[in-house]
Amino acid sequence: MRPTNTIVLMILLTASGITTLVGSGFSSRLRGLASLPLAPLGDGGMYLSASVRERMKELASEQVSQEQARELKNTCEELRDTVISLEAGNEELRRRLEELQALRPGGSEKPASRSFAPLEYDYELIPAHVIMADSLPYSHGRLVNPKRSGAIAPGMPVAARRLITDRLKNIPSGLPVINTMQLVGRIIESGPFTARMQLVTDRDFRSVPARIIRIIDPHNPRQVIINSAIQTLTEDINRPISVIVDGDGADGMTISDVPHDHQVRPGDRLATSGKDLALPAAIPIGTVTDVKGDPKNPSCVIIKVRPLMDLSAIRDVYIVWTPGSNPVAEKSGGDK
Amino acid sequence: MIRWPAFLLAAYLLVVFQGTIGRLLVFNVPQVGPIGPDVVAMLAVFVAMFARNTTDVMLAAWVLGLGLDLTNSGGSGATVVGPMPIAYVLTAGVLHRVREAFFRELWLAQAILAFLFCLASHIVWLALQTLFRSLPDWSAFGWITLEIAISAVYTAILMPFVFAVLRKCRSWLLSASAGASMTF
Repeated sequence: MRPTNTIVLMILLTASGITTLVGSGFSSRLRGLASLPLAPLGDGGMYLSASVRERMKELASEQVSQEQARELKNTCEELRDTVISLEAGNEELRRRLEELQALRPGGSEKPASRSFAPLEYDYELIPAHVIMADSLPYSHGRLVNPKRSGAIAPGMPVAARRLITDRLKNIPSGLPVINTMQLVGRIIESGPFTARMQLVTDRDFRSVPARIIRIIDPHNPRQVIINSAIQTLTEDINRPISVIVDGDGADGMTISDVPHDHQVRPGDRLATSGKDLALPAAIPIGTVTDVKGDPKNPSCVIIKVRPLMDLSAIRDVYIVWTPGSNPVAEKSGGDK
Repeated sequence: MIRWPAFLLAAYLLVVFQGTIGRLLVFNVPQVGPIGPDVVAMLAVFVAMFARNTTDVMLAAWVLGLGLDLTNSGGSGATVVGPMPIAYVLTAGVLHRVREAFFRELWLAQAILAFLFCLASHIVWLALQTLFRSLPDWSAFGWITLEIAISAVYTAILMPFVFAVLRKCRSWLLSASAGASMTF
């Protein structure tokens, strides 16, 4: 006997009720399975969306006149000459240093390298494409995280992206996601060939250890307090400032509880701390755009950071996995 | 009668559209949040306006609601799958019953029906999500409802244009006898 449409509808509604009651774990698995048929077309759609957004940005950007272009070209050439002369000076200094070291007893040995060399660690970059954003535009993030409901504020936009990967097995949650320029998010859910990334701008992207790198501008020096003494910030004493970053739920990130004495300014850079086990390297996160006094704590400032690029238009990303950090991912192969 | 293969294909295309190219239509309203149209709801409204059988309309709404829930996962946690199909089915059922009161060829009627459908279905969805997640934060309900209302207005504004496109595809989606029972 063939079931009538009414019976089918009742069965489907009952199934919907059951999935609603079962909870988010089962729903996550369902979404993971559903993303497979969505991936082929979603990939093309997201490519188109990102291309249009890029093109619109180009059209909206300020046009440079011929005269301005000429000035910029001249400035570039001057800067290039300066770099060349500085490099020549460096070379000369290096040569003299080697001569001096050769004069010292045992001086033929090379000096120990300073800690500026990039940190070498074994890692794997899993390439991924952004294939879809969440289908509902408005905010509802507060609905989904009862454990941290205190940290959730009204008007919180959802900032998640579905990724397609080359992995059949689940990728562990919490892995950082980068593109060629910066840290863009972290994995919060995954299934065969797909994963879901939470963007750095999401309000629930919280408590990420990072460092502010102050940019030294000889034309505009800054006075900082070090060991109770006021000093002009120079390269020798310019240590990165350790901070904790939170997504602001809009288009950037915020950092609070930064002492005013550090004299952070717009234009300074934010990078990952390099101490995180999942990402033991300093990867750029964004640029400081605003520094305001903290009304609750006059000795501190609140810093606003913008990502280096428009995250709504990202397409190609890499999931960073450090072997040993998770045995599940260790079994899968990948480019090194 | 709904032509199910064509309808399922259209539903698939629209769900993918909403999560990809449709994001170009989303913009941030200061102090409110991101606002965007629900293109999938427009197809549900179109089917509710033209399909003959209420059960068919509700089945179609269930499929579309499921598509939305499967492609919407919330912020860092996850919303549950299920409330949107229920919300769409209930709203589409009511809309099918009241459609006689509207002249469906009038763009204003199309916009009003789209607005009501979006507003009602999304508020039901929000209520179900909040209820079944057992969150104490009902105080935020009003705030999100404001976003839903603005998104519903946005959907209503676009509805006549999408309606015109869907009308061209009507014979693919619905069989010829569909809508014959309509009275004006």
